[in-house]
Amino acid sequence: MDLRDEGELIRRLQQHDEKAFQKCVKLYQTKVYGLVYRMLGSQAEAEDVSQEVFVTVFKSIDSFRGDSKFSTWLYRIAANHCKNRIKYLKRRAHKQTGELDDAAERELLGSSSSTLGQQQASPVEALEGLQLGSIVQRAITKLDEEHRLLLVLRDVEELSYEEIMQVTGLAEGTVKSRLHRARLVLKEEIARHTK
Amino acid sequence: MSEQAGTKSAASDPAEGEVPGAAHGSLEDEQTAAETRSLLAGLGTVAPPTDLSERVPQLIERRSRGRFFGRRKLYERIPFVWVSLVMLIVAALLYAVMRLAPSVMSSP
Repeated sequence: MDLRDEGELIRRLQQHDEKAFQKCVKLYQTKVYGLVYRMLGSQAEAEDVSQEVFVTVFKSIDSFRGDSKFSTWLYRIAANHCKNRIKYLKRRAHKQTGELDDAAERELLGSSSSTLGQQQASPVEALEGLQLGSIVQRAITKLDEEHRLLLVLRDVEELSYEEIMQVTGLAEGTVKSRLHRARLVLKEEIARHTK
Repeated sequence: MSEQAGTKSAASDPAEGEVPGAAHGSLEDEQTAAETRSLLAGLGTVAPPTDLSERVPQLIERRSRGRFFGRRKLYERIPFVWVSLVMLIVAALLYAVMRLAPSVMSSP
């Protein structure tokens, strides 16, 4: 979407145009859901939080001044919702590590086997892919929320440092050092699980 | 922007302290970044629920009590199932009345 189209979409969103809003959801749902799912590690929570993100977009669209890209603004809202949900779940002593439900396992199976560059993985390979995907996702959810966010934004969503700074409000040096630490912790977590 | 540049400025972050090996932007850091990226890229994209774009406006309509996205066209607001049922009951009642009416009227 080019800037003119994005500007037009935002203008229509500010007029509470339902069709524009549906278009906005369709355009950005993969990005939002992807971030939220990787942050929370649960399909049910991700669906719920994604809805809340778009409701917040609807409520706050008038406050969008266009200082950053719309997608960056959207990521910031999603990140804040994720942090709030993580805190809420922690308070409820939610068992996040055991939350990968059947659908998530199926999704992990699909994505992990596709990374092996195979059209049809054997059951053993598929199981290995599933296990690795599951281990990686669980390792992500073991990280603290700030590290998790940076890791997902940079290494999963592939945002630039500039965009990450806008999303998180952190300085460049802080982003990079925390990202470095997050990667090290993730590596240790994965190594612990695969031993 | 390279990961090497990133780890250099990381060393000056007072909140985080010194990152081991970061000041020199070592090959190991680059390797860690590359390994993590390949691992996480392997997770792939997750598909959102197909009806998210319908669910969200419905949620907004419900929460705003119809103030937003609640202005439906007349034909969308009519509960056709209930209207049909009522019409069938009315027709049945009319039929019964018409069947009974001559016998009631002709009786002494």
